[in-house]
Amino acid sequence: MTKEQRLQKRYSAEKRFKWYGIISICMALLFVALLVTKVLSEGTSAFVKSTIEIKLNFDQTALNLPEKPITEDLNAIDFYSFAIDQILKTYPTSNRDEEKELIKLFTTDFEFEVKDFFLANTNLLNQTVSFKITASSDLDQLHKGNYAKNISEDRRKISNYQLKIYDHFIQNNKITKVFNVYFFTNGDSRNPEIAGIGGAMLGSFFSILVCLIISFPIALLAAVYLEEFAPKNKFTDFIEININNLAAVPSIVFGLLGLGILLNVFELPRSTSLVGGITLALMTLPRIIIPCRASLKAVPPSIREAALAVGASKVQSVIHHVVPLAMPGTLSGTIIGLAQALGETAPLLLIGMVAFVVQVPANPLDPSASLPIQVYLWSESAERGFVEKTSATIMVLLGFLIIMNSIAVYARQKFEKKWI
Amino acid sequence: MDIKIKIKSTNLNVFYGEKQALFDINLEINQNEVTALIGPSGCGKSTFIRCINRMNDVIDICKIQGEIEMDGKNIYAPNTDVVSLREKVGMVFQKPNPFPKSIYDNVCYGPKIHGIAETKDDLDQIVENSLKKAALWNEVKDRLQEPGTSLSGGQQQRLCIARAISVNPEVILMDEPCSALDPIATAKIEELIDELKTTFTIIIVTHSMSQAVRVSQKTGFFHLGKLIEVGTTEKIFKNPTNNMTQDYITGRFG
Amino acid sequence: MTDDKHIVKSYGEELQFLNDSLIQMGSLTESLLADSMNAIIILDKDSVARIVESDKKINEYRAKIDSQIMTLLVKRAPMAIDLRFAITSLRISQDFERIGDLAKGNAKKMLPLPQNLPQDLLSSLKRLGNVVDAQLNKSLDAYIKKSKDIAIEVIRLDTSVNEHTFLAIKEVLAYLSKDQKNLEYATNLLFVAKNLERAGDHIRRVAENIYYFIEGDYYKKS
Repeated sequence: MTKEQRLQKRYSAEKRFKWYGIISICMALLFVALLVTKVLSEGTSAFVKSTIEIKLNFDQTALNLPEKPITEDLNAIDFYSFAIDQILKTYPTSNRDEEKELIKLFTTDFEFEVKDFFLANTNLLNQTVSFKITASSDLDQLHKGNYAKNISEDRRKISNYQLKIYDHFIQNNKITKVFNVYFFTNGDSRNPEIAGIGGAMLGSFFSILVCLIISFPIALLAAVYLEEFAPKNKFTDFIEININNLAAVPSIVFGLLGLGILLNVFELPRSTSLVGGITLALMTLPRIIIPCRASLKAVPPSIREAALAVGASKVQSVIHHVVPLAMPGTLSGTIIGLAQALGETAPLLLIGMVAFVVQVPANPLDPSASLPIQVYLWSESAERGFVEKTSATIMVLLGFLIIMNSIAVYARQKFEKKWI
Repeated sequence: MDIKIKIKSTNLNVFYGEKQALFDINLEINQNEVTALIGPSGCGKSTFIRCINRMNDVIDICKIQGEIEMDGKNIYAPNTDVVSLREKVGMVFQKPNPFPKSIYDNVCYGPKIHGIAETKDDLDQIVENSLKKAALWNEVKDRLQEPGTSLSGGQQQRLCIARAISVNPEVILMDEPCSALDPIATAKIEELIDELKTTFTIIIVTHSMSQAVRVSQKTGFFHLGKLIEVGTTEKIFKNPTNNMTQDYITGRFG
Repeated sequence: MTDDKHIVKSYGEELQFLNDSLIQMGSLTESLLADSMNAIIILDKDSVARIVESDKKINEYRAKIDSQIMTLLVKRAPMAIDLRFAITSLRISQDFERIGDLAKGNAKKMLPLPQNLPQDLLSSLKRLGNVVDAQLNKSLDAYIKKSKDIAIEVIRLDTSVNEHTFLAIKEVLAYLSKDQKNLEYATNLLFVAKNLERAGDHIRRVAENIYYFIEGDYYKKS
């Protein structure tokens, strides 16, 4: 083979290799694009909800209020009957069934919406205002086009009569889509239209917070000790092997640990973010120790020597010089570990964070769900309205993961610039 | 002016595990003098000076036999405080290694941890004095908060020297301080060494024969872990007694 | 030359080249001195021109060696024995040049002398010339062999030179006292004797430098 032939062969091999790389990246991007497209297409609709505009006449007598009402009088109003009165005025009904069907077009929480509105604006007494009530999930899904209309009535969730009302509302521009605040503020619910990830978000937040508070200091101290102070012998080698193996243990095993020890032995409250946080901390520990040790190893020995030569003790040289320099790597490792913990489902299932929790938790000792578990719960549900919410929750989860990873990358770049 | 012996090593033997690095070193270092240690690579010069501030302690397999006395006291005595030893014996390394902190923080770190300065003003004063003594003050006085690593190589090495003298040591050990620097930076540091010797005792390891001649008053020649010859710099370089010394400094082997 | 085991071969070669240059210069000087003495003894006035040419060559050597030493100093920063070699080579070449000048001067001094000069007058000069020749020869020997002992011998030979000079001067003064009109000739002969004595001093200095180069210290008469 001549020199030119050999050169040609080498060039073609390099070109081929480059194409292999490009194809692999494209395939990976394709899968990501598929996931994102599916999630986006299904989930974006969850961020809006359909509302029906009705007129509310806050007539004093209709509300059974005295001449000069005081706060207790206002709180004692029967908003349920008042609201039903106002709703029934929106469309003619001939019998009880039709009334029921009309009311079913509105959210089951309608009385609370009216109540909250009035109590926030008591100056509207004796006035008539337009107010948008959240539509029921069935109407919401119908309006979003998720229900087929051209199938037989007994196979539909919306009856013909309800369809007529819907068309009437549409013609009169009574139905609008607004931003779905409930999605972020409410806890779980049987009714899709008022179900939200508020509880799950706070549950995840508290879990990650507890996880961070427990795992970061312990991991940092363990890594510093093992890397800087521990004598190099078989015992420390053994510990190192075990830590590396722990990072590879399936997360569900930690769930069993949480179940067996935290719940059964220590009898901590079930389903709480505290227990979830501790379980996640156990799982995240090795995932912080390993990058932390790698960062500590990467600090050049010249820095340590310089500190020692100036008269710093070993501890001082480590704390004042080595650890700050290892911080960028440690922090990005921590953030990535926390991002992984955020997406963990299996261990939290076992410690019970899978309960149906309506109340948004106020502190880590309240029972709650977490975001991935909420995804799991809703994906199992039969209601059509939960489909979009599942995808929307996945979007929120992915959003948090992207933000956390971006912070890790940014923090690493910013700190590394200073140290070079 | 009578010569006072600052450091004296007696029958010093150093082992790295099984391998012996220094054989029976008996060397006296005089106070307020510059003593140069020369010899081919791997002959034990760096090992020797690292024994003086006990930097070899950080190497687990390093074993020391024999004594090193400073001001008459054995620094390897069991109850010696290594931290205060290193306050008295400073070190400047081959490759400049300022802390990745500001220039100010580099110099004030030592005084801070040894509790030398009480107030911020004291610290400012110490930083200024150290930088002045290291002939760096005029170049950096307007940018003390900039990182130490933003300086040029020669300036960084002078910063390391300022850092070493900020704790007011008695001895300064220099391990090939100019080997990573350009000729002008080297010349500045040699001049600095000349000035510093009036206040400190300096031991310098160098590969440059001409540098040893220029800066030192006493020279020791090491070869394969043994101290072959020691004497005044003038004698060693004009007319050494030992043939191996002569062969080394004239470039017949090395 | 000190043994040539420099790591940088060209350094060793430069030192060797300098050594050889000096030996060549020394040989030339030795020949010139012998020629000059011969010319004076047989009063060969035709050879003076040739002698002047030879001296020019010696001066050229001096310049060449000077330049070699400068290069050596700036290039190699020689230490210890190499440094002593460079410095003593500089001095020795200087001394050789002076000896050449003195030999040339002597030949020129012979020009105005009459052919009928008494032989016994020139014989003491001849003896002085031989002693100085031998001294120069020995110093070259010492240089080539780098021998401390031979150098010491040369240094000690200086007293013999001084004695022979004294004898030669006595004879010339006796010749002068016989006849006042011999003044001019006598003066020239006195100069010749003095020049030979000075040549002897230079040769002694060459030997002292050889000693210094070998020992690192100056020779002290014990």
